[in-house]
Amino acid sequence: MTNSLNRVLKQDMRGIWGALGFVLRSPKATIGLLIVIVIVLFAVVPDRWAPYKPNEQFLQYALMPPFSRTGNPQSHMFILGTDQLGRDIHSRVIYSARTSVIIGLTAVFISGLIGVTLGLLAGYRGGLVDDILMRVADIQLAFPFILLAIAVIGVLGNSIHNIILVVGIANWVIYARVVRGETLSVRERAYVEAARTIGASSIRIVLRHILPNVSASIIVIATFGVASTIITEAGLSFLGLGVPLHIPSWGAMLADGRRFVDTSWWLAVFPGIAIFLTVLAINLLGDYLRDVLDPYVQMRRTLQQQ
Amino acid sequence: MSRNITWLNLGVIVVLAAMLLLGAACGPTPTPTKVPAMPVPPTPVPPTPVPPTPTPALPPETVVILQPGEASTLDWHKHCDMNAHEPDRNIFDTLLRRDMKTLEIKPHLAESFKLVKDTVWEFKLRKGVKFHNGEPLNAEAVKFSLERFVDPKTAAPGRGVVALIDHVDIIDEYTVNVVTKEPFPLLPVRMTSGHCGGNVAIVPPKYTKEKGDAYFATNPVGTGPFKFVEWKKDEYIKLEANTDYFLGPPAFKYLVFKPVPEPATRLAALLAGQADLIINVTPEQIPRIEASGVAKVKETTFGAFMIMTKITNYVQPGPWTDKRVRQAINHAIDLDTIIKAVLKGHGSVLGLPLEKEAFGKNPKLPEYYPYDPEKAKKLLAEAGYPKGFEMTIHCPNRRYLNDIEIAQAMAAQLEKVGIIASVQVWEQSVYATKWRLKQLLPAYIVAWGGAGLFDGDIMTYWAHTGSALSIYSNKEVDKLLDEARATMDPEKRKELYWKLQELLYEEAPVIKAWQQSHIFGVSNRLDWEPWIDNILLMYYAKLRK
Amino acid sequence: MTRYIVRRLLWAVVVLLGVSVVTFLVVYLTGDPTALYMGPEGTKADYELLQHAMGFDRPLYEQYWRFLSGAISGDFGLSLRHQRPTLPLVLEKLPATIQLALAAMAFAMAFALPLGIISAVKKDSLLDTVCMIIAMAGQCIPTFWLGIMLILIFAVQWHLLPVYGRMEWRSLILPAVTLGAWAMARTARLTRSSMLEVLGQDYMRTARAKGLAEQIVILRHALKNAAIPVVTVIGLEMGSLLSGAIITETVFAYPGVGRLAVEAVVNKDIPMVQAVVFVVATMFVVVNIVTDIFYVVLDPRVRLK
Repeated sequence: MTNSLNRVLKQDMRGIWGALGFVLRSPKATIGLLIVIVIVLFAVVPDRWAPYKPNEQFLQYALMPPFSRTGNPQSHMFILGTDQLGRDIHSRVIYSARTSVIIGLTAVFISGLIGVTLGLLAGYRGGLVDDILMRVADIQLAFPFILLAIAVIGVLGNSIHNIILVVGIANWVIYARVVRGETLSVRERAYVEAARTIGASSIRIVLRHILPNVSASIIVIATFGVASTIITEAGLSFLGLGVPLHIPSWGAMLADGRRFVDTSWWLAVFPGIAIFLTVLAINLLGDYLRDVLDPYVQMRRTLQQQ
Repeated sequence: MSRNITWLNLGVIVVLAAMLLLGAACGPTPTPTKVPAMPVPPTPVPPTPVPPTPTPALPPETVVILQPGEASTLDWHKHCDMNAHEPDRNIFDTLLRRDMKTLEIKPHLAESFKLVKDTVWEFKLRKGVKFHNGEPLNAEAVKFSLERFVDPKTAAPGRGVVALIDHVDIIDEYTVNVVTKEPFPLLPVRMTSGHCGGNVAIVPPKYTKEKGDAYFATNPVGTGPFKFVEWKKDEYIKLEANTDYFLGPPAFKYLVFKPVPEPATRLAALLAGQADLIINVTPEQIPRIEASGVAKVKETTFGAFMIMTKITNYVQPGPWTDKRVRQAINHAIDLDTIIKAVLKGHGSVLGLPLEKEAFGKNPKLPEYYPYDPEKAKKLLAEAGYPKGFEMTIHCPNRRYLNDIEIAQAMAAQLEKVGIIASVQVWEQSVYATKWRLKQLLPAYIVAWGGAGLFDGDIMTYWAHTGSALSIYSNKEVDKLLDEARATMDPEKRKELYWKLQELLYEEAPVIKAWQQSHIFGVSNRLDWEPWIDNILLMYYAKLRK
Repeated sequence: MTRYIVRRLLWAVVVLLGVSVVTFLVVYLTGDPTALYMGPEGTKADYELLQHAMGFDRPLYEQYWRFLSGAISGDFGLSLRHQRPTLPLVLEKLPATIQLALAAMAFAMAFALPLGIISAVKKDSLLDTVCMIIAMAGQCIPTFWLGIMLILIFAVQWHLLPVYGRMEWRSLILPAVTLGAWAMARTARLTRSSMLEVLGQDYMRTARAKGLAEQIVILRHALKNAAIPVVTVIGLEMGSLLSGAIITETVFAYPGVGRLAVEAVVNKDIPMVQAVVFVVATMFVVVNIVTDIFYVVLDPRVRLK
């Protein structure tokens, strides 16, 4: 009885372990996953890891290099140094994870949702719908991003919502155009024609036959989207349209830090590394997902295994 | 086997990534890796000096100045724009000018001036001065220039401050009478060369009328030490020495202004020997310039901006309408420490915003609300806010030296007495619009001065109810300001301003004001000292051989 | 084909009209520009005077109509800030930006296509990893940061290239690399993934089975099919390079349309904003039409009926 239960549990364990092992079999995906887990931990409970509050100022200890121990007795330790207001860079890098995660994911979700929907619609329907949607896309693309940014963020204030909105709206077109392009190509394929002739509904065809076929591109673009949002946020900070001051963000730290690049390199380098690792991790996972989701790559893998 | 290779690849990724970021960041200067063991003074480790290299990029006999922005128009009468003002000041002249050291108002294009009666000022002009196109400088030119400036059709942005000028009478070829609508004690000051705000340059009447305003805006002609040559938008404004200048020819041949918006790029250009003079250097950049061996830092605090945080007492209801609260806010802020940390000491606390050098400055006032958080808490409790309150401080986006950091530091200090202050930064154009509409409430940072006014009258603009940008209102203050404005007797005027400052001290309509240094980066080959308040008067500069 | 192009051109007019309306509304939303053109010491009366002189006391539709009727005859009005006709100013700066965008594109493609193809063909090799690192690096360094770093290294430290401006051909190198880095990264990764997709398809295996040499298979079949999404993105990138040169031009003080755009937007120079947006949008639309034609040429199945 107990033995058989144990055996079942063990089998289950093997199953879970197996699933994890599947991910772990790809070292790139593993690294990506680990970094993402760390970032998510930072984002969810930053106070658990950060030694100071992100906005706590020690004006008298401004611009201390990394590993500075100071105070009397030596009570303050700034592992990654302090910035121009004596704020702990280490803590700010940790707290910034939340900002970047929120902005990155939400903005990509918004642009992805708009872009994929319109792209599928335009590509599948074609004709006038396609023309109109693509012209709307053209208007969006032809309209300079900075103007939109200044109009929305500059006038309504630089809240996180506004930044997400601006970045989300500004980036839907690439999804729409790539998805449309691929849909145009996919809908002419034999199996879609076949589905159509047996009377499958349009929605069903789009969701079952077309969407899976364009998903590889969507994932690659979305991966880039998260990364590019984080970079865009830095660019907005460079133009003075970044997140509000009381919210720490890597982009703002990097933009601020450029003024100190010659004298206090640590201001920009650590948020820079954080951005790099995040982008790297997302890309590693994205590549993995693409391989898993892409039927052709899967097929090829199976063939190779044979 | 194959897995090992992939892991190896990953190692390569991580190592390369680290090298890329660190290498890129530290490429120009070796990383200071010293780990400080003891309490370290918060000074940055100066980078190792770059070996001085020849600077072939700069042409001989040419001084290259990098400004943060592009000029709007070179018609002096039609802009309120620092980037246009610097070239303009080298092209045009004014009737009078301040002495660089004593601030005394001295003749320039005018030989002398005097008050004929309360509403009439007489100016005698220097003889033999010619515009760059050969037109003579005479009474006709002065009449034309002044009347053009105050003509509403010209839509001069600075018109308001000299709107009291009614007309100009020509007495003879070299004498004019400026007639004002009301007594106007500030007229001589307005005939000097300050920043935007109605300082009137003299333009050639015939040329301006014949060619039209649009042409004049891009092909200015003045009497100044440099003649206009060419303006290539977003690239350069090129001027050439005026060898007939009435004070003698300048010491070098060409003067070129270039717009370079990014501060890091201006610094790089100076260090790479591709600029002679860069303006708006930040305190962080100073050690880099000093260590470079190819350039030096020049600094002046003279006539610097007065940067203040105005706080309303009537536009928006709230705790700040109580003067005890405004006093408490002032007591809660340790501006000395902030300036030491954020400006690295390149600035000074002013308190009530009126320059030390200004006419009518009351020397008897005590320090403007010394740092005293306990007293601040007490005052807040008395006013009925023992637990503090929330407020917003609006801040421009890097218009003044490290303004955002200063605002954040002030907010952090206010938090210690219970006032939760959030700093809201606005993009420049939005900021300028909002302050005019009085939407930056209850408090916002703005600078005044730097206009060469140096007069108690400047208090009008932040304390008078009727002033377009004021968010403070007090009948008594208004009365004193109006009275002083119309008083021709200097002694009486001074007394009024003294009284006014006592009143304003008590009322605390601004949070402690400060002044920032003007910091310039100057190439080793350029011999130049900053002139009165940030003015780039290049006539007195020389190029070392 | 001709009919297709004509139709596209007609749509282009609609797009430009749409862009002008959106621009007008967006700029209008940022508020009346009068305040910016006032001296700080001006009074309310001065303000109204100036506002009237600039025409911002008129109703919105009237302002738009005035703009549109002028624009049709090629007159985009006087710049508020410069008191000069706007369109010639923009056209004067356009060559610099096109030059920069083309150089950036050339740089991006010169690296992206080989990187993408090599890493797809040699998937999971060390070479693949290195190629993708280069791509990823271009992708996770913000433009302004890359620009400043390049200046510090190549201009300040090594004195190889000019720091700023547009004085000689060497002035173009650093801005082009800075601007092209992002497009390079994106295109390299997309090339790799489309190549991988194509390489796995039936006809590729058929081609291989027929005994065609690997290089020929790649060049003739794979590349052509992988080109579809890549061309899409190149078209997009070219468009965004034109309007996206803003940060690059700011960092390098490069006199192009991007600088003009920032100056106009920051100073609420509405006629200038309109002219800049119009010119950039026109360029963009043209690039787009060309891209779409390529599309049809590359994949006859896409040809619209």
